[in-house]
Amino acid sequence: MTCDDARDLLEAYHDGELGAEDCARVEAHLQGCAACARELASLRALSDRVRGLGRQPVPDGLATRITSLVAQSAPVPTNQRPWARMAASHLAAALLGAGAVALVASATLRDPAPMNDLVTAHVRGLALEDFGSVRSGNPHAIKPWFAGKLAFSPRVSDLADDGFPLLSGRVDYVAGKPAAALIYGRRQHRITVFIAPAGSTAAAVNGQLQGYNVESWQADGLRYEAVSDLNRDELTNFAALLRTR
Amino acid sequence: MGRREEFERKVLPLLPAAYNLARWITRHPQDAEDAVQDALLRAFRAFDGFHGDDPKPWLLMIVRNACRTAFRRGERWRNVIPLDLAFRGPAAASEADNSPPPDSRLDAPRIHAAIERLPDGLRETLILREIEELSYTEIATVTEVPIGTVMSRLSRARARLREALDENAAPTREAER
Ligand SMILES: [Zn+2]
Repeated sequence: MTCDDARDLLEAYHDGELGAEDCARVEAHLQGCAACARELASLRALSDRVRGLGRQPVPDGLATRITSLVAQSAPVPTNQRPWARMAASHLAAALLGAGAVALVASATLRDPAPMNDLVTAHVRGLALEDFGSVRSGNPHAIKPWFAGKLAFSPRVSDLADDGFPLLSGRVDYVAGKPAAALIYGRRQHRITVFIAPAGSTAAAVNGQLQGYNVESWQADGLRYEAVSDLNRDELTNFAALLRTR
Repeated sequence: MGRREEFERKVLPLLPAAYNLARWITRHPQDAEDAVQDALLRAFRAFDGFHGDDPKPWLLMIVRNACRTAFRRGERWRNVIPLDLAFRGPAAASEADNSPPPDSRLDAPRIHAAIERLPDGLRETLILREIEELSYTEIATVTEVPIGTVMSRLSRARARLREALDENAAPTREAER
């Protein structure tokens, strides 16, 4: 490993974000390179100084005030559109990743929980949809919209004739990797299909997580992951339809 | 366990993290307090929609958005001295405006000031990593940017901070050379 390679990985190493293999490579380099070892020491010293600040203390009375406000306020009961609440609560101003596709040193990052990431990205995306901050409408306009925003060309099919109209599309990041996200409708339910080059995301994740079903498959070098609160049978049916397009 | 009990057990203990982030984002004690109060209530109302294991990134994302709202709203009254401060007199007010960092070591005020001067995106990323010890993935969630952006912001934040701290007092380093 050259010094340049080591420097590229040094901060991720310092932050505990490298996989075991890269960790070992960096450590091997550090053993024989005083300059890079000094750089790491300097990073550590800086982090220690910042951490030494600690948190700014919570003002007196704030905790009590919040506890009593919470006690007086009833949570909104679960309904069929959890994303509406999510949107209203905290995603109003968010526009995720519109066009800003960054190069990510994917091989050097540890694996996050893929299923969790998929569900999170799905729910977050629906919040954005409610605020109209993603491309919607004409399915024919969605595919060209992706051009230049992604390094690959996702296949965009409308399944309106089968009862799954294509509603919108956006660029999203799942497990830190850019993906095309397509939202389909089914009655009041939404299905997000994440599309990314195969191999760029973790192994197949099919299953169920807290009320959301996930169905994944690969075709033409692309990986597809469908997430929805729709029941398993209909989601499987949807996946089968999309696969034949 | 009821939802409120669960919220109180899982989310309310995150108040110090929430306030600290709000304080660094707004750089203003009253804005931070308002934003955190607003954020916690929003979080409670949205708690049924939260399905993850760790509520910290979720809550901090809400806090961050509440700060932005508070900031926009705050433009109107930023120059008004809060009532309780007015009663305590101008000395109290100016003390509150330049609240000292909690650490009283000589180094701390300088670091604190240097971080406060970082641009918004770099500052929040640095705080989430160094003080809140979030992973890159979690920071990406909270700040709603790709991981690559998190990495470059963190790197730039550290570089700027080192520069700022070096130029003030780096005699030992020069002497070494
Ligand atoms: Zn080296």
